[in-house]
Amino acid sequence: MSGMSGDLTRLRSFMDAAHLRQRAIAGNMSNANTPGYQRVEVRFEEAFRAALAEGDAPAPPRLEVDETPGRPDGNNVMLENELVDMNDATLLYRSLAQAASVRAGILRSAITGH
Amino acid sequence: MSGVSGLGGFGVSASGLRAERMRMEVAASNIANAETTRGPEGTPYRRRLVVFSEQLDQTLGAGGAGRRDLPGGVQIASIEQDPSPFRTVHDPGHPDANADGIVELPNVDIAMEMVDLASAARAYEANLTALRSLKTAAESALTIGGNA
Repeated sequence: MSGMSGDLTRLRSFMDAAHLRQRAIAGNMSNANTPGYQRVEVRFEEAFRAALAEGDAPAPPRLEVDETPGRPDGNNVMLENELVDMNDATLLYRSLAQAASVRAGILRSAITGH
Repeated sequence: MSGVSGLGGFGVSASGLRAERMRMEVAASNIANAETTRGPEGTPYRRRLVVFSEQLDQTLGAGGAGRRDLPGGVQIASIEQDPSPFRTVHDPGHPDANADGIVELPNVDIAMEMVDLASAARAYEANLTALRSLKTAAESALTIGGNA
């Protein structure tokens, strides 16, 4: 897995992970008033960092349940925190899409010679 | 339930919007009936409560190695009646007063309903923001490989 198309494959799995995180945050937000609901986090940065260093394919993202105590009804979603995380995840996704676009453009130049 | 696969995930936020709007509607109905002394069963109106439950997204369970599935959104489990006692006032002239002149009024507390309404409106907006974020991300993915 090296070279231009390898980069694109890696970017793609990074984008998939960021999208998974967005979905988890959307799920947390939709359950902000569900009694007993514990928020879910998607972890992937460590795995991706290790994969970049080793040069092999990253492990799939991990879903983790946040068990910190929350409100009396057992729900630990804080809308403010989820909004901030959502902004982060969206920016990450967009910058990855931008990077993928640039990579694809270079690849196209290499093929067509324009 | 979960829209277009790959892109999207809009169904999750949509379920949140639906649920919170229902909570606002029920709070509005409680406020509207705060003085209703005669319901369909002949008793005063009982405060209604929306009960939410989590919806699991099995389709995404394989997406990650973890302890559980991704939350698939929220659903309305039921709309319950508040069993707490009715308010009572002494008003012998009221047509629904009993022999002692006591009138039973709905167990609706307007202040509580207003708090519920505000919290539902805030949660509704949060779900809307999440939906916009998902849409922005999906749009950025659609520009990959464009003639930039």
